[in-house]
Amino acid sequence: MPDWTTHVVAGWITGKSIGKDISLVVAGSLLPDVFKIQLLFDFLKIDAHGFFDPLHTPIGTIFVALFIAALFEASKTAFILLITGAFTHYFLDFFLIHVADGIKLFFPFSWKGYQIHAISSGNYWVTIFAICIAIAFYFAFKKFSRA
Amino acid sequence: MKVAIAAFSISMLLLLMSYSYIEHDEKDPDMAYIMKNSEKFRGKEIDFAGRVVSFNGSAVCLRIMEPPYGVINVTGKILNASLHKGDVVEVLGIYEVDNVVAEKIFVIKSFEYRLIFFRSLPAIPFVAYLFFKKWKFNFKKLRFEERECQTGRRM
Repeated sequence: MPDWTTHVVAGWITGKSIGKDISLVVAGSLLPDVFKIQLLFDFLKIDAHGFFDPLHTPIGTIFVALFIAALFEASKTAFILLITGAFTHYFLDFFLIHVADGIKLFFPFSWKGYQIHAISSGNYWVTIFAICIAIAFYFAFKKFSRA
Repeated sequence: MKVAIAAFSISMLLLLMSYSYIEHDEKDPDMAYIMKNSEKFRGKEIDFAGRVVSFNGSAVCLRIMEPPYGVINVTGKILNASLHKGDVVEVLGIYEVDNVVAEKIFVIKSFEYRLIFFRSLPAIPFVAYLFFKKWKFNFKKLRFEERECQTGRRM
């Protein structure tokens, strides 16, 4: 995964671009990483045995977003915004380098992982670049909204 | 209707997670299963990640970053790699019980790996601020509602 700051910045830029509720798009940008709850089990040395893995698949994220959206009055809009944020997450994750595996796009029908293998998750220049774009975007948005 | 959607999505999630739990060993085996069934996987291609414990130029000892968290020796395509203690190495290679012959490796330097977590930290308060600035949870209605100062603005 790229770091969460990059994901959140991508979600923020997307939310600003579409002119909708940024808070839900940004929250959605971290939605696939709810599977990181696995780290707690790892820390406690409990083998969760792939139980949480579906949370980091498109189908799993759709159901998580559906559940969260049901907690909002405008649930349809909330669902679309959460999924938009989640899409930016998968889009960024798609470019990461791994020796094998990747995003299980067609889970549960296929366990094959897909990846483009372009950027290391340790590459901090991606974060710096994303923040620079966000700052430029912030001032551009401010200027246009004033005009 | 919304209760039905919530119940449906939770049921589907539990179904997917249970399926993953049951089929994980066969479809996407982890190191705990591989090492427990070492004969079954001898000579087969596996992948895992581990942290460098020691490196002598021809073999590297990795501490596996998933259960059973043991150490395993890796040989093969690592001779030209510049590895240091603590570096994270992803390995794709042939399993030979107490050794893995690497075909492909990918290294993330120790400080770069630690930096991922530090870079992630600012995101948490930022998301919490953005979200709870606009929404509050009504425990009686079990629903998120827009804060009063935001009521003039729709989503």
